[in-house]
Amino acid sequence: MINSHAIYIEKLNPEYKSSFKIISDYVYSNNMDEIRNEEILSEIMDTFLEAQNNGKSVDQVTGDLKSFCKEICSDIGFKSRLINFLELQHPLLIVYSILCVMDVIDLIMKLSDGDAVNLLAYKGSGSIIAYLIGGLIIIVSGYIGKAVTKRYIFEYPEKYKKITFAVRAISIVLVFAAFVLVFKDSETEGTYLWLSIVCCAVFLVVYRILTRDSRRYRKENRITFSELTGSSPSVLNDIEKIEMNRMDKLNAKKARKGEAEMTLKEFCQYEKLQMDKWYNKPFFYIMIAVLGTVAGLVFTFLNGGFESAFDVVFFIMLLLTCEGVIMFGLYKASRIGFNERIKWIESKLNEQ
Amino acid sequence: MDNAQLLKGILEGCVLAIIAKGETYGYEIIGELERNGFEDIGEGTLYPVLTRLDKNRLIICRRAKSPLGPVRKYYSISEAGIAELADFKERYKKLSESADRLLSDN
Repeated sequence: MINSHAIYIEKLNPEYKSSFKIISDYVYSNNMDEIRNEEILSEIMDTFLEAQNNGKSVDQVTGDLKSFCKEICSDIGFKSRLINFLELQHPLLIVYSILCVMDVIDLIMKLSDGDAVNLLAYKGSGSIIAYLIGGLIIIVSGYIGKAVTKRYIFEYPEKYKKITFAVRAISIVLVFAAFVLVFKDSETEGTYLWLSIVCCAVFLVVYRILTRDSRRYRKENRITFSELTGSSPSVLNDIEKIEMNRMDKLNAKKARKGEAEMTLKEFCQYEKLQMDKWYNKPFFYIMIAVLGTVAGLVFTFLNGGFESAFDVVFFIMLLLTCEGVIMFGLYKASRIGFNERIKWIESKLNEQ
Repeated sequence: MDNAQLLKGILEGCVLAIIAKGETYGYEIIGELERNGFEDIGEGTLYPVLTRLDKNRLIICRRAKSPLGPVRKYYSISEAGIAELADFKERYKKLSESADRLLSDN
C-alpha cells in the first residue's frame, strides 16, 4: 500500500473536499499514468491541508477552478499517455498470461502421456486477437467516459458522474453490438501458443521497463495498514460510535435489571477485561479451521475418496495454502481493528 | 496587455531564485512569491513551472512524507540551475535597463 492522497481526504473540510473531488476527477480524466496522477494529487492535497490549517479559503488557493485544473494537467507527454494505455491493458494481459501458463501445463501433460504434438502448430485455448479487441472496447469506452467528464465537470458539477456513467454504458453496448454483428459468423480459433507466449512476454517486458519509475515511487512511499488506519480520523470516529453504542446497550440492560448504570470509566475497564480475554481467541479459531480442513481430507482419504496418499497430501497443501492466505489476511485485519479499539479504550481511561 | 504575459517570461527565473535560497516545497514557494508581490500565482501556475525546471534538470526533486501526511516534493537547485539563474539575472538586468530607458523617455 502506498501513501496515497486518498488517505487524507477526510481531513479536508467540506469546502476543500468538494473542490478536491472535482480536481481529482479532472486529473483522472486526462489519461496520464497512475504515478503522475498520484504525484499531482498528493501535492494538491498537501497544499490544501496546509492552506486549510492557515485559515485560507479554497478559492484563495486555486482561483478559478477550471483554469487551475487545466494548468496542472498541461504538458502531458506521450510517454505518460502510453504508460496509461499499457496500465489499462495490463490486467487483461495478466489474465491471458495465466491462460497461457495453463495451456503450457496442458501441453506438458500431453507430452508426458506420449502424444505427438507439433509445438509450432499447437494452439492455445485463448485468442489473443479476441483479448486485445475486448480490451480495446473497454479502454475506448473508458476514454469516451473521461472525455465526457472533462467536458461537463465544470458545467454540471452535480450531474457529470451520471452523464459519464450513462455515456460509458451506452458506448460499451454499442461497440459490443457492432462487434457481435460484424463477427457473428466467424469462429474464433485459439492463437498459436508460442505466439501468445511471445506477445505476453514482449508486453510484460515493455511494461516493466516503462513503469520502473512507478515501482520506485511505490517502494519509496510505502505505508503499513496500521499507519493507514491510525492516520484515518474516520476509523477513530467509527470506533467511538461502536463503543458508545455498546455502552448504551449495556446500560439499558442494567436499567432493566434494576442495576446502576456504568460510567464511561467503568465501561472502559469492563471492555479492557473483555479484550484481554479475547486476545488469543482469533488464533484459536484459525487453528480450528486449519485442523478441520486437514481432518476432513484425511477422513475422505480413509473412506476411499482419494486414489492415493499423494493426492491427499497435494490437496491438503493446496487448500492450506489458499486458506492460509485468507486466514492470515483476516487475522491481520482483526488484529489491527483490535489494536485500534485497545488504543481508544486506553486513551479514554487516561482521560478519566 | 495583462500581467500574465509579463509574468510568463520571468516566473521561471523567480522560482529558481527562491529555490536557490534553500530546499523548499510548492506551498512555501507560493508564499514567498506572494510576500514579494506576486499575488496571483497559485499551485496551478506553479506546478507546470516546477515540472519544466525538473525536466530541464535545473532543480533536484526529493520526495518525502510531509508533516501533514501526504507525499511532498522538496526542491533544491542543481549546478545547472545555478548557472541558469546567473544567466537569467544577467539577461533580466539588460532587458530591464533597456525597458526603463524607453519607458522613462516616454
